[in-house]
Amino acid sequence: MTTATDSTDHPGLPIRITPDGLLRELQQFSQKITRGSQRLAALGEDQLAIATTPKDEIWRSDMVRLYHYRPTSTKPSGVPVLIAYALVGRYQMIDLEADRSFVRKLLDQGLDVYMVDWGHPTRAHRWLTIDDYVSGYLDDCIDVVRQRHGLDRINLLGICQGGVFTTCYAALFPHKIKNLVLTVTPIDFHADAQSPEAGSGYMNLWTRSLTPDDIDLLVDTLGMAPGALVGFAFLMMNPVSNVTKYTTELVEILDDEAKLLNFLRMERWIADRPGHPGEVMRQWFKDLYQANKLVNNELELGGRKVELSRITMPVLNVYADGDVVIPTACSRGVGKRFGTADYSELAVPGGHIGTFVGGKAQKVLAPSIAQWLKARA
Amino acid sequence: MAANDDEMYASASAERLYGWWLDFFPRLFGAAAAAGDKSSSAAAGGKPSSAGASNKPSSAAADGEPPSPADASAPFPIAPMMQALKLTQDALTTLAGSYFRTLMASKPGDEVRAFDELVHTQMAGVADKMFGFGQAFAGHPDFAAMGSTWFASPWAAIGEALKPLTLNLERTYGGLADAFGLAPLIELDEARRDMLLAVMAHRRAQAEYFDVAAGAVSQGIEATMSRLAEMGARGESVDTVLALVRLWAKTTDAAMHRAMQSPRALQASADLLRAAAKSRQQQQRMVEIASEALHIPTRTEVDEAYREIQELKREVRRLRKAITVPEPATTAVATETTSKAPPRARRPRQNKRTGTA
Repeated sequence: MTTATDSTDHPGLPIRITPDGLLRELQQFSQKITRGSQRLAALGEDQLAIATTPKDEIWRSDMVRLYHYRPTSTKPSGVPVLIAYALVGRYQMIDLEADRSFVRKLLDQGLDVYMVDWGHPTRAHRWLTIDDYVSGYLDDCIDVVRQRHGLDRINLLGICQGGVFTTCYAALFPHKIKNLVLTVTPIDFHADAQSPEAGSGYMNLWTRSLTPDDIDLLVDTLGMAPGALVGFAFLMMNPVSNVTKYTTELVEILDDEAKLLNFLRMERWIADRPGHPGEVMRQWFKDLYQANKLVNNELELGGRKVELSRITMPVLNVYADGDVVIPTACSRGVGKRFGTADYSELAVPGGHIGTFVGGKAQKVLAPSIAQWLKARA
Repeated sequence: MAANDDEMYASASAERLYGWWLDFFPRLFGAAAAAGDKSSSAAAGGKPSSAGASNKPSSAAADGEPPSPADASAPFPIAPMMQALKLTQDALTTLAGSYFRTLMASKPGDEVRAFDELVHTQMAGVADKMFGFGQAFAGHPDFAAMGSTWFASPWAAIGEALKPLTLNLERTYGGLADAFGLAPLIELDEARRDMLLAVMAHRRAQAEYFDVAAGAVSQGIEATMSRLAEMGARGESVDTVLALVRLWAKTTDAAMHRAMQSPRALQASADLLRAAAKSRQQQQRMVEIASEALHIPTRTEVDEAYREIQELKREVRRLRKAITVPEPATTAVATETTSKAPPRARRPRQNKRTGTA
């Protein structure tokens, strides 16, 4: 094997970086960074704006807001769909940019779309429980939409943790939901133990390595889990790539305006991590990740059992086949737990976030959901 | 305006995270550069801006100075990205400079091996240092004698100065010390000792976690070497520094996944979390004692008030739902519904500095 210098020979290490090549690379690299820095400095707020699909705030309570997206079709579908995102990130992820906006694609499919924005809870909200979100804010939002449309039941779409909230809601208030769509949602929090997937499910393992007392100690001490802590937990899922993406990968895309803007807008979303109310975190870790109560019909919210058998409306369960945050085993194959006879599953290409912003997934996700909902209008 | 609140929260939340993360990079690659020249300033300080300049290959330095940080008024996330680019340029220049010298003088493989050795040594050094710190304190629970930096805090200083007085009062008058309002000083002193013990335990847990992380990085480098060997066997090669960095990142991420999911790593992580929470709890206890002594509402009191407010809100919600059973409107979609919506609860005005209400 020939190596970098003519005088050396290393059969095991095929590194052919020559001094000339190295100098050339460094020169090009420096030039690229200089040009890229000028490009970055010229960018303004307009180019970096995210979640630009036109919408109107129609209700708010505390830090929670309900938005209605302005329909793009002249006659949107009769039954609107309300989307509930997770608390650990902001809803803007599904409307990141005009050309890769899950929301826009749903609108273009003729759906009438509403969105719950959970906002940024503060220390004042540390006592909020999952029930406050489900039977409180979410129920209020659903009532507002029902009232606006003169309907008894509307469609509900949950994403990740929001999917758990909507599952609980559908079990507690089945008479208000026409169809339930779950996306990248954990239902059986221990399924990863039976079907381990390489590189995924760190959160499951980590939470189970703690005792219930540890969770209590954490919640009692923090009150609210700071957004930066939540962000850090996600960064640690790919620690090295998350270093190089700000360095070598960033340099690679500096000359490509479209890719650079994609990257910067995604960074905006990633950086916007709301704090997590402590009591929600306590229930989330202890009742769900540790005790796996949801799938076993043991979860109690506001003194009422969440029984999945009460979910009798049609259910579409979408999971990402490359999801490392929520192992697919935790999402799929849960149809028999629900009370509905109309249960479908859809696997989409991509990861937990890629499901909503990735090119391949975008071609599948919104059209499939719209088609499924229209068939059950 | 709600949107401004969001931006403020986003910015505040991101700042520390980016700071930590971006700082990690030059430290890591500063170490890499030092593999070629262990006496370089990059290894000593881990500051790429100066180290980078000193290690630049002569002709490479001519093109493109590191970019200046973006104007503070630039929209988020331009400033941290500019910072990242600057760090990248500095760090890769340093890395390349070191590699350049190695290419001219020795075998390329030695560089990678030296990197492995150096990273492991540095990380282990950090772990040892932290462990030593904890051990040193563990042997001396009376921190007063050690001139600990904690005594720089006014509260501790006051407590120390009044210690003889409060001890004498305690001995002579017992419970009367409480009546004079001096008891908090004794309590503070006890709390401080407990806190320092908790801090030590936290440091020890950090040392163990660092050791696990060092092992994971080391495994990543071993995996990179194996991958390179496989490539060599297939007749493939790595021709650029960037390609080498990418290969390292990919293999190290996979190795770290495996290592950090091991029982030992999970245990270390749980121990760290426990120790960190207990340490914070002790800090909070000190603040509580001080707040009480000065008649400032304590965190517990404020939290209790929030709890009551939350319970009242739940009660209001229950009553509201009971009297206004949601009736689906019989008319078509309303165009203006704000007035028909359930009563709107006002968000408490927030303190922009602390983020609390």
